[in-house]
Amino acid sequence: MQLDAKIPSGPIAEKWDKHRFNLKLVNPANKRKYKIIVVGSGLAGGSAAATLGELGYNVDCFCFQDSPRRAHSIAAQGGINAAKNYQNDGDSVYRLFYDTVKGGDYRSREANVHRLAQVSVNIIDQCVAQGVPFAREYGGLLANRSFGGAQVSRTFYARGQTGQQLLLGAYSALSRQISVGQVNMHTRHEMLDIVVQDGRAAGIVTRNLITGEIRSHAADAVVLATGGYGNVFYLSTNAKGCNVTATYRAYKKGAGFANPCYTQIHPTCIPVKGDYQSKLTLMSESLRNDGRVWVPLNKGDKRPPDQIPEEERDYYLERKYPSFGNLVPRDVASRNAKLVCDDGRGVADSGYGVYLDFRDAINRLGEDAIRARYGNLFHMYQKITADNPYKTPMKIYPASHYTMGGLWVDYNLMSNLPGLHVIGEANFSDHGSNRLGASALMQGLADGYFVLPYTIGQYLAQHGYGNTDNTGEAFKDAENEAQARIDKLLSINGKRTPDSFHREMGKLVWDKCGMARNEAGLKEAIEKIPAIRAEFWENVAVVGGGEGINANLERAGRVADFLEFGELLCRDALERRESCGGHFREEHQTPEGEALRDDENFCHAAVWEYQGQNATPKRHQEEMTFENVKLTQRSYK
Amino acid sequence: MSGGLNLTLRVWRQNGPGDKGRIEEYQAKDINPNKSFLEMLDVVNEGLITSGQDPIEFDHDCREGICGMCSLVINGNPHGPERGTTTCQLHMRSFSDGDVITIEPFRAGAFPVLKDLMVDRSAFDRVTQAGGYVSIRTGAAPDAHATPVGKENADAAFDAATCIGCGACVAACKNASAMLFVGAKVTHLSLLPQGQPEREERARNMVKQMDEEGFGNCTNQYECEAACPKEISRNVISNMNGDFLLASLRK
Amino acid sequence: MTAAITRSKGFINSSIGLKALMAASGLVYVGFVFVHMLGNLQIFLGAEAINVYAYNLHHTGPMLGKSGAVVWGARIFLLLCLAIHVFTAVKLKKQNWQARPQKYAYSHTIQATIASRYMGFSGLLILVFIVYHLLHFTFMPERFAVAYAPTMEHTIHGTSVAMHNVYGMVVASFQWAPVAIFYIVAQVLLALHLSHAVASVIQTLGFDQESKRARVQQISTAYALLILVGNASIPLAILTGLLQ
Repeated sequence: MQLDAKIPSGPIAEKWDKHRFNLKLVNPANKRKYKIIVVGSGLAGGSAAATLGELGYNVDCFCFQDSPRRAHSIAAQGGINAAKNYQNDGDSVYRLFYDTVKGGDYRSREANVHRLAQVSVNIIDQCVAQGVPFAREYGGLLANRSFGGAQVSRTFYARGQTGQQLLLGAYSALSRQISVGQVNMHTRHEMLDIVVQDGRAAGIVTRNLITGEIRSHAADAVVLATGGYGNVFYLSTNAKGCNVTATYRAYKKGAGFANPCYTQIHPTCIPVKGDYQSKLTLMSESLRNDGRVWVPLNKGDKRPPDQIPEEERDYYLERKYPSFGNLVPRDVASRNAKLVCDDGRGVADSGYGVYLDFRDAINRLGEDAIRARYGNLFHMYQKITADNPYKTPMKIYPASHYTMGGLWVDYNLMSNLPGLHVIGEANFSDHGSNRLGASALMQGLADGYFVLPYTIGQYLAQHGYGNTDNTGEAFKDAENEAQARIDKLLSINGKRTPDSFHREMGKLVWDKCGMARNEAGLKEAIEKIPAIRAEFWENVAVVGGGEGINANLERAGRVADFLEFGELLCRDALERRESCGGHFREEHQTPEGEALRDDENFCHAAVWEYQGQNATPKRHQEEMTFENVKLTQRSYK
Repeated sequence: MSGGLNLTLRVWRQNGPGDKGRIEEYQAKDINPNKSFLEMLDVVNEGLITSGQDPIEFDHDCREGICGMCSLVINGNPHGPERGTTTCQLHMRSFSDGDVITIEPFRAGAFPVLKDLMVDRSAFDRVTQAGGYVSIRTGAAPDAHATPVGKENADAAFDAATCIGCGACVAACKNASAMLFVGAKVTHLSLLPQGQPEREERARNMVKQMDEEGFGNCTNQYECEAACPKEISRNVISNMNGDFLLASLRK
Repeated sequence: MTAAITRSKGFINSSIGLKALMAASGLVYVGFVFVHMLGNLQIFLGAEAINVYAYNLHHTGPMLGKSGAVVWGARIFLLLCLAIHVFTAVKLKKQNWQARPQKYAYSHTIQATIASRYMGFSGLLILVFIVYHLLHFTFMPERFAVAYAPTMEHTIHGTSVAMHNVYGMVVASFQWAPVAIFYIVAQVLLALHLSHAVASVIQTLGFDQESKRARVQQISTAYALLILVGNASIPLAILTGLLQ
């Protein structure tokens, strides 16, 4: 496997400008002769499809939802970072770059991160021009808040619905391109496979979720913007439909999968209640700006929170991290919640929850001020739990939320499979082993609006246009394979639903490869997952047929891929014998219980190459070199 | 577990657009009141699947009230009896043991039933494509602070922009009118300076497309507003009317 | 010019255009019922007052047959508005039926008012009433009204003139209970129609403001009640013998 990151030479601040100049351009008159497939219509896919359409390319965009506006980017709450320094508090492109590399625990590519910080300012301009109603101050200028541990206020937000507003902005741009015929939108289509022909990604195979039709589509380039794989844990804050199928299929066709063990556990979610639960709900991290996290000082203290006096409360984040307090990064906040709960001091029915208390903030600022800041979040919390957070503290617990790992891409966002570009959460590039709050929206839009539309030209200009013939053998083979898999699923006639297998594996992966991991547990998971997989292929119950709508069949296909992917996740976690960011190996921690990196041996991205069904995949490495940021032990004391 | 609810579900089943469809009864037994409505349906479906029957098809995705994919008319209420709540955020504690619950798809000529409780809402996408955007190319934007927007207008624009495009307004309206949906987008953009150049064109084109899709007219009953999970005000309809009428007078 | 025709056709065929026409034509009637009521209430001032008022009304402008041009103008204008109101109502109703070809098995409303739910019903009955009312008091009193002395002598500008005995016609008609009750019922329906209509005009023509919405609805309801009390007071007074 060739892993050439193609990082431009020169000083970090000049790399992107220089690279843009060096990139080949596609003649404007020829752009309309190119066809590009974009899979996914979230922040990354939607913005990319719209921008590529504006440039004059013919775009075919696919999403499994009934409208591109429903992609799960819509659920992001908190905000989007940008190095605008509108608050005059010392922010800069370099500081955002620095914070992101540090926050990612030095496992990301410097050049990519710096580019991300550079274009962050353009994103805000673009979104405002589209009519995204960001929060504003009385003077009419944009408001900012500090978010997720940042010590500058660089986060732009639209109440607690920033992702929604940004996605609707991208959706409006996409709608405009659809209306002028530049983008051909295929809703309710699921990508089942990628087609590799002559060593390049030549197209995809889709299933029309309404008619059941399986067919292939050929194009000059393929862009995957299919999001993350957080649903590998079954319970996560992802939408029910989020899945790993697109990226995993690409991996099976030769694309490298980088750092699957980098999963982010979000500290502020509503705790699990019973085994029937279908998903977890995130409460924006912005709540930690005003809420104080605590548990009872004494084990097994079952008194209601208002009866626990101040001196018997343990504000453990404020105690352990006096300078960052409740605003420590996500991985630190999550792990500490697990520690106090494992210590027997957790709250909620299951004992796996901690309090997030707004009493002091309400006393200080008044209930109205808190309502203005978090009204919709409090409302949502009350809907779900029937508790009133104005009166009693919220109960929260970490949950799987975002995945930093993804398909390996070079500086041009192209995977090792020529022609296959990967953007947004689906790639691995910018967040290292831990993503900072309000950076996911930034990366999705940076890739889609401002990076890919330039860099894809390099590939297109080299490879020419007109590759739209889907009658080749590779296409037929891929179609037949997809059909055969569906026929197989329909023929098993077993006793267990796809969800029950997903739940079983999800719980195993969460227990062994969730917030804290160790060698024995990972080995156990790697041994057990194939058994679950084997039972799945013998005993899964899929009713109905392959023609027409069949959500049960869709789920079965996605679960089947998760059952393979879960093993890869654990294997990556096992081989990375260090702790970094969201990947915490219990064997590798400082005496204070912080993540202990091993820069000598693991300052690299692990890139997995598929070796065939039931064969152990091959691990490759891309060394991460840091020329600008000095590697230090993260400390939020 | 004890304390669970036993419910009778009367569910609309329809094999496809060509099928006539009918209501069928199912029992939901021992349902934990903390379950969401969709989790209750998941349980019913698990039972159907393991006994070899076709599960009830319904749209859903984020299950946190923001994607707009879930629908359902529950006892005549789009998204169920709770105000300002999507079906996925509706919890079974809103029901009592022994309840009979009628579950139907969103009904409108412009939202044809695809299967069971799933409908085709692509008409909304086409209305948006007719003008629900600001025509700005990527990269062509001036600095975000070039045009200040008064907080009051920015907040009002946000209120209109919270629409999740679920279609509950259409389902609730006795005329299957989409005016709350269309009005929300028209209002969101007409309150912002960025939306001004295309303001009249937008109102005209979106209304035209809305009419062509076969949505009904507004009878000022405001059921849409009452059913809207984001509680968008009827005011957006009045704003749209004003913009449309001005646009018609001027051109 | 053709462009203008295409545009106005587009306007008339659009949902909001139709609604605006309905609102505007209805608004004319909102004004008309008030003026009409003021005229009618002069019956309480006695036979001379109302008969002279009617005489003057019908003798304004050049005479065309039994009435003056102003009355004819008003009649034509009102008839046109009525036609627009009925035409838009029928067209909208038809579209609305088509918009929901399949009804709900379980139907339910959340906040729709009674008045709003029965607009079609009240409108239809009011239309029937209008036809009867015109035949009764305007075009064929000799066929529809109870026998009364057709003329009465009153003095205007110093000369005595034989005028149409409006007072006698009304009193005689309403002394027969079924007619009086029919008129009262029609006024209740009109009030119901108006209570939704006045507030709706504000919404439909694009003038809704959240802060003034409650006030607008109060005014709408108050106006409807005013018309009801004013108009129904006449048959009631006659039926109870207050007016003879």
